[in-house]
Amino acid sequence: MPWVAASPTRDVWGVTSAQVDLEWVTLLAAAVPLRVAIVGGSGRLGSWLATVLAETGHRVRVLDSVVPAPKRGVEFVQTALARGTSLEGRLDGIDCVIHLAALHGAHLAGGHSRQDFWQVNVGGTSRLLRECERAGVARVVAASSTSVYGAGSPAGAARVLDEETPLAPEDIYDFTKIATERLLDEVRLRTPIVATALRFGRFFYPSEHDYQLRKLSTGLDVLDACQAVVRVMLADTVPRPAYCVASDLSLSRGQRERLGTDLPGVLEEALPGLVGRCAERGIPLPERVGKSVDTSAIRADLGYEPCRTIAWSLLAAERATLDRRAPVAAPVTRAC
Amino acid sequence: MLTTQLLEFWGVDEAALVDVARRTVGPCDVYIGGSLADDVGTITSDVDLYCFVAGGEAPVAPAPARVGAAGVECHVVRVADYSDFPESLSVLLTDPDRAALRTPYPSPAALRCMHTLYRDRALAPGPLSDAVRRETAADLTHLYVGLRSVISCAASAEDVIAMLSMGEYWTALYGTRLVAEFALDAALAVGGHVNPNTKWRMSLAERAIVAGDLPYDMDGLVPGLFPSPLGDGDPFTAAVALARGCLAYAADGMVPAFPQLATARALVESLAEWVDAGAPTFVRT
Repeated sequence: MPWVAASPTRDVWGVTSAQVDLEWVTLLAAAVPLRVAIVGGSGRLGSWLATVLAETGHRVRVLDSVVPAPKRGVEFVQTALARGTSLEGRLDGIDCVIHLAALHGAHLAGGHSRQDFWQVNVGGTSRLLRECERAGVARVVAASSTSVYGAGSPAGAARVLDEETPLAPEDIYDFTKIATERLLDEVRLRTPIVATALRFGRFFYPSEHDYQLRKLSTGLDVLDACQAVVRVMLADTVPRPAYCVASDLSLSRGQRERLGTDLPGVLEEALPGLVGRCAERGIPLPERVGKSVDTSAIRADLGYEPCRTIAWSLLAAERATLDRRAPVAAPVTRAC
Repeated sequence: MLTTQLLEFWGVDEAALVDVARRTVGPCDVYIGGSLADDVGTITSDVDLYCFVAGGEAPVAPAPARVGAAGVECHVVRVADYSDFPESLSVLLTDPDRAALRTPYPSPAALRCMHTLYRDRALAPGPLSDAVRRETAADLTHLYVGLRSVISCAASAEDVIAMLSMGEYWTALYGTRLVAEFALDAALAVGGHVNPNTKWRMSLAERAIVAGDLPYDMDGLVPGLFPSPLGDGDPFTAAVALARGCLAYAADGMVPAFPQLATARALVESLAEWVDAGAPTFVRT
């Protein structure tokens, strides 16, 4: 199986990266083959999920308006969630739907109207869930966002974001994500479908530095996002309707709050030596962060264990320096 | 007419509108509001410009202006008036149970401002209008208008049932028409047609039909909205049928599924039972 690392890497800061990565991939490979539809499967997260699922023996159907990269074992159905598009029959024979399709900030900048957001993100989800119900889909995992919590603190203690944190949406994207969660709640209560929202941290990739350092706050590595989806797909029971997901360190609540006032101190407690090694490599750490996503619930309920935390980021960067044939940024499981 | 057509007809471009707004009220973000925000204006319409200013320097009621052949009215929106806005619509999503008990009730001026931001016909957007959008949660105006219409529909239906039981023909008939109108407003809101001025209801309906936002054509709407009380037939049936259909459509598209929707639908069903049972059998007076 190409997802197995050829040579497991060393233990540092509790990160046994190959084994950690492989634990959920192995779980997936051992599971009864599922028929999975990924709606919005041509995007970054969807493409990774399609690859992992297909390579571990599951049947994948990608539904998207954009053509994905061709992949053996992945069926593509070109469709859109916009109003007027029929989804009938598109989910026939599917066990699990992973719903990732949505308009987001870049679409607004690109000329989509705010009403398009509601039509696609909420109206589209509503139509999709109805089709899930008609087709007898057993499980739905849908992407939400930690942006529904609003901004971080401007100074002082960092805001800790978990499932109990009050929502403070700020824009149309946030509103549509909360509305999506309401739709999932309704389906979960009314039907046998296990419908779960994953409030993903930020996994937009503006630059390598931003992508990796944001893991100190709300950042989420795309492979950790994949892991969270897989955990929900495979769990016997999914106790909560929504989970926060990030590539966060395992910190106490107090430590998370102190990320707003003493970030280097907290890092030194959690990962001794990391601050110094970042300094040696010229990696500038932020002085503070205004918010910290706490993934305790999904860890406890579903066994999620992020393997691409800031610790992995530094190790990957150091390994890349040692072996210049390996690209620093490539978040490939087998490269762990 | 489409607003782009109107501006061309009047010989007005967007830069000229921004210019007149800023000459009238000073530095501001500028949006088109009113009927033109919904593409339902006419050649006799004024251009309503919503001018978002920071503080108190701008005139309270600027004099009307002209640009080309267009009359222009500038409406000043002070950002300071919307800081910590107590009627933010976000509660409709973040706490629908609370919203069910106490629905936000923004003033008419605030609602017109929210409608403007919701329609988003921005000529000169910026941080001032962004702040008001954020404080009011104007992007949820369709939820608010939809919910308010549903609540009004339910209240009217309840009144009509009482009037029917008392034989108050004319009041019941007028109330039934209101039930249909409010139900139509709820259905329109689901599609984003949320102009708070009811004089545009039919124009909005026409646009919604063209846009595929209503499951009717005009021939299907008109008998329910304009019942003929002096004819031989039953004037109630079409109005009640329209109300049922519009509420079902609204319920299908409104998220969250506010409990008021179920209440309104149940009341309209009760009303329908009266009509189906042969009521009103009372005598017109």
